Amino acid sequence: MLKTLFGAAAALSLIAASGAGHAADFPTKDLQGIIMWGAGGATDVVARAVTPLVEDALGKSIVLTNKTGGTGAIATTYVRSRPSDGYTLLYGAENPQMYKVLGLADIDYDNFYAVNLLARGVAVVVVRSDSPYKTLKDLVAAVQKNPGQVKMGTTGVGGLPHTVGSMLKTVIKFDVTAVPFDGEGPGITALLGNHIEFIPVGISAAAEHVKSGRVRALTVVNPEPVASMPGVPAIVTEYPDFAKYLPWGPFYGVFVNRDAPDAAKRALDAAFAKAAKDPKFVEMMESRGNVMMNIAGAEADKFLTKWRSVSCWILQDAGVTKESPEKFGIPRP
Amino acid sequence: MRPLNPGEKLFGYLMLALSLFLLWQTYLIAGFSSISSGGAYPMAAAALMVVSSIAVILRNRRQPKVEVSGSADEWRRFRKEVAPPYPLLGYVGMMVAYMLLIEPLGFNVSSFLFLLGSFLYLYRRGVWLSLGLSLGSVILIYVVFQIVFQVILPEGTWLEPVMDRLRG
Amino acid sequence: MNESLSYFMMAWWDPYLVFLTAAGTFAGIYVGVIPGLSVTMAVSILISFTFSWDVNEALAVMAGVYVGGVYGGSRTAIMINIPGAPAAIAAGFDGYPLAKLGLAGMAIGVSTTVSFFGAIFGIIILACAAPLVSEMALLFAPRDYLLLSLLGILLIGALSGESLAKGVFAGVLGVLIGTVGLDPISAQPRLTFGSMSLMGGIHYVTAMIGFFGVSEALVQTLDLKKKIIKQKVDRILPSWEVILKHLPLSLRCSAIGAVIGALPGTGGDIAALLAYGHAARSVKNPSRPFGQGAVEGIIAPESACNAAVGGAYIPMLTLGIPGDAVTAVLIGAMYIHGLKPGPMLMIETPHLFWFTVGNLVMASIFMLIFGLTGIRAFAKMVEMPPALLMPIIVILSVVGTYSIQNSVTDVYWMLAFGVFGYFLKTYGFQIGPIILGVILGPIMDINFRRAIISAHDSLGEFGLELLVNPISLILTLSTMMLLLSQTPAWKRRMARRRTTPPPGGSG
Repeated sequence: MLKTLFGAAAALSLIAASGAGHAADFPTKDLQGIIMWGAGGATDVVARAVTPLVEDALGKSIVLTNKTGGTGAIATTYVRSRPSDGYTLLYGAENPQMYKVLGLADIDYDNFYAVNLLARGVAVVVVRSDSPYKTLKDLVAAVQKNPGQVKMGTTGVGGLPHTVGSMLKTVIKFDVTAVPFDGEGPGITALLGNHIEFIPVGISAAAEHVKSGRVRALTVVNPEPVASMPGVPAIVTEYPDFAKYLPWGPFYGVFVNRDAPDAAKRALDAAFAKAAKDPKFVEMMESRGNVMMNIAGAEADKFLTKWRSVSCWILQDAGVTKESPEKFGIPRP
Repeated sequence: MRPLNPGEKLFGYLMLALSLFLLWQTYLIAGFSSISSGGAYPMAAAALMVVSSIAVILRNRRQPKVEVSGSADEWRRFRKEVAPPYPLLGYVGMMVAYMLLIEPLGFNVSSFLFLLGSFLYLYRRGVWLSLGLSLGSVILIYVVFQIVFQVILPEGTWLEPVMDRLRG
Repeated sequence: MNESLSYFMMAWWDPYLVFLTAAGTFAGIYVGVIPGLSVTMAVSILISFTFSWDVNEALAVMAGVYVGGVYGGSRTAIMINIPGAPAAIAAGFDGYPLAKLGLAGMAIGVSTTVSFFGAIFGIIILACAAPLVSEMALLFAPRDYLLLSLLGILLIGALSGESLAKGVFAGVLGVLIGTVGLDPISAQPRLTFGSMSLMGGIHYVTAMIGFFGVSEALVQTLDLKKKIIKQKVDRILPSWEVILKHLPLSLRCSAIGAVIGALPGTGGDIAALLAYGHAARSVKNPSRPFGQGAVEGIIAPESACNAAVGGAYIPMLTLGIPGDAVTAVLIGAMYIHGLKPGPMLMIETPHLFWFTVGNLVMASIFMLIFGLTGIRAFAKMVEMPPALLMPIIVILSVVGTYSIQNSVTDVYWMLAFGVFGYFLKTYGFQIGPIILGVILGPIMDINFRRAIISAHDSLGEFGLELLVNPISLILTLSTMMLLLSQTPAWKRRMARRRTTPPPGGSG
C-alpha cells in the first residue's frame, strides 16, 4: 500500500509540474487495462502476470479492471467506445471472434490492433484413469455404439469443449450428451467425481491432474504432440481430416483500437514483446501447457483471421449460430 | 392483522401486472420447447409470481382498512405517510440527479455535490458546516477507495479532456 | 509429524510474515466492513501488488485479507442493515434488530467470538480431514447442488414476515432478477429487453446493495427527527455461560460451513444462509423470536461463513479446485508465483499445506484481536444522526455497485431496486427472500438443467438418480421433511406437541 501512496504522490506532483509540458512521447500518463473475464480466470491470471513486466518497460502504470459479462462482449464494446489514443488496453481471449455469428456484438478483433498475442493453449481430450477408453478410437467406438448416451462435459455454446466436440461431429459421426459446466475447472471436477465420462479442455486445466495419474489424456488437438503432454498422440495421427482446423485453441492477447496512433502501437508492441520474453512469465505460461506466440500486427491478424474462420464455421455447422458467417464475409477454412 | 397502508391495494394490482408482464417475457425466451431449455425455469418462476401476487391481492381484501372515506382521502394519506414530497421524494430526486451526473462530472465532484445537497436538505445546520462535512467525507472516501484500495471510479467525461490538457 | 509442525510454525517464527498476516487481516476487516469493497477484488489487486514478493509473503497477506474480510462483513449488516459482503447477509436478519434495541455492541461481540470459533473449526477440518472431505466434495453431482439450493430457498418460509404469499412473491422476484442476462448454457439472452448492458446480467451484489442499502436510507429519511437509540457498550464480550449454551449450535453450523465451503461452487454466503435456516428450524426457544434479534440468528451464520474459509481451502490445496470465488483468485496467484496448484501440489511442495494452516490460524487470532478492539467506536457510529449517515451510505452504495463490473448502468439498477424495495417494505414484503432468490436462483436453474441433461432429458431417470445415490437420497429426504414441516397440518401437530420438548430438528 505504501507503494501506491508514493505512486499517488508522484502522480500529484506530476500534475502540479505539468505546466512545463513534455514532448508528445507515449505514454505520458497511466494506462487502463480492461480484462474481459473475471478475477481468477485464465485471462485474468495472464493479464496480471504480464502487466507488472510491461509497466517496467513502459515506465507507467497500467490500472487493471475486470469488466465481465456477455462472454467478454461488454469489455470489448467498452474498449471500442473509448478514445483511440492507445491508453485503453483490452486483455482478451478468443471469444470476440465469434460475437458476430452468435449475435452478441457487431464487432470483433477486426476492429482492434493486436499489440501482442501472448500465447495459445492446446486442447486435450481427457477421461478418468479408471475409464475403459484408452485411445480416442475407443471413445469414438463407444459413442457410435450408443449414440447420445456418453456424457461429455462442456462450458456452454462457443466454449472450447463445445467447439472441439463440434469438430469431432463434423469429421466423424459423434453424437453425445453435452452437460454444461461453469468453466473448464468445474468440468474437470465433474469428471473426477464421475458425473461425466470425458471432456475436451485446455491443457492448463488438465495438466496437473494428468500428472497425478487421476486423469488420462487421450489425444492433443494439435498438428503435432506437445512437450507438456509427453506420450499423448496428436489428433491428426488418428484423424488426418483435423489438419485443416489446426492450430486451434484458446489464446490470450492484448489489443488497442485499430485506429490508435502509430507511436502508441510501436511503444506498446515493444513493451509487450519484451515482457513476453521474461523467463519467469514464460515458465509460468508453459507450465500451464500454453504455447508461447509473442506475435503482433500483421502476423497476429493472420492467426486471428484463420481462427475466426474455423470457429465460426464449426458453430455454423453445429447449428448454434444466429447469423451465417457468410453474411460477414468469413470464408470456410 | 395490521390495517392496510395507503396504496397497498393498488400496489398489489401493480405487482400482478408486473408478474403477468414477466410471464409473457419469459414465454418469449423459448416457449414450451423443453424442460431443460433456457426459458422453462424463468417461466416457472414468473408463473409462481403471478399466483403469489393473486394470493397477496386476496389477502389485502381481507385486511381491515382504516376509516374508509374515499380515494381522495387515501391519496392524501399516501402523500403524507408513504411518499411525502419532503423529504422522501425530494431526496429520491437528488439521488437520481447524482447518479446521472456521475459519468459526466466524475465520481468525486458529483459525490461532493450530492453530499452537500443532502446535508443542506436533510441536516439543515448551516451552509459552512455542511460544506466542511461534505468536503471532509469526499476526501476521506477518495483516500480510502481510490488511493489505498485502488478502486477505479469514473473520472468524468466532461473533466477528462481538461485534466489531460493539464497533464500535458 | 515433526516436519509438519516445523512447516506449521514457519509463519510464526518469521516476524515479517507475522507482520504481513496482521496487516492483511486488519486491511481485510475493513474491506469486509465497507460495502463497496469485496474480498475477491482486494485479493486480485494483491496479485499484481505482490508479484515481485516471495511466495510465502504473498500467500500470508492474502490469507489475512480473506480471513479478515469474511469476518468484517457482518459489522455493517448489524449496524446499518447493509451487509458489507454477501456472506454477511444472514447476520443482519437478527443483528440489525439487536442494534435497534441498543445492543449493537453485544451483537458484534457475539459475532466476533463465534467467527473466531468457526474459523478455527474450519481450519481444524482442513488440517485433519482435507483429503477425505475433498473426495466427498467430488461426489456432489449437479442434482445434489440443486437439492442444496432447494433446501436454502425453503428458508423463505422463515423469512416471509407477515404472509407466506408475500415471501414467495419476493423470492421469485429475486429468482427472476437472477435470470437476467445471457443464459450460461445456450448463450440466449433472457429478460435483457435488447439492452447490451443487461446481457452481462444483474450482479447479486447490485441487488443486495439496492434492496438493503438504498431502501434503508429511504426509510430512515422519513423519520429524521426520531430519537437516536443509545447503544449499550459496557458489556460487549459474551459471557462463558452464553458461549457454552450455544456451543452445540456453533458446532453444527461450523460443520455446515466447512462442508459448504469445501464444495466447489458454493461459498460463505450460501453456508451462512443454510446455517441460518438450520438454526431457525432447530432452535426451539430462541432468546428472542428469529428476525427480531435472536442471538442464535447471529451465531449460526457467523460461525458457518467463517468456517467456510477453511473449507474452501480444502479442494484448493488437495486438488487445485477452488472452493469459492476467493480461492479461485488465490489459485491464480499461486500460478504466478511458480506453484502448480493441483493434486501434485502437496507432493511437490509439501511445506505449503502446513504453512497455510499455520498462517490461517494466525490470521484468525489477529481477527479476534482486531475484532474485539474497536467495537465501541463502531457501535457509536450507529448513534450518528440519520441525516448525516444516510447520504454517506448512498455514496458507499454507489462505490460498491460501480466497482463490481465498472458499470454506471448497474448504479441505475441499484437505485431502481432501492426505490422498489422501499415500497415493498412499506407494504409488508421482506427483503431477505429477494436476496435469497437472487443468490440461489441461478444455482437452482443451472443445476436443474445440468441434472436433467445428465439424465438424458428424462424426468424418470432423474427421479431414479435422486433415490439411488446416497448423498442425493439424504438431501432429497431432508428437502421432503422440510416441505412437509411447512404444511399447515404438520404445524398444528407440532403446536400440540410444543408442551413436551420435541426431538432435535432436521436440517
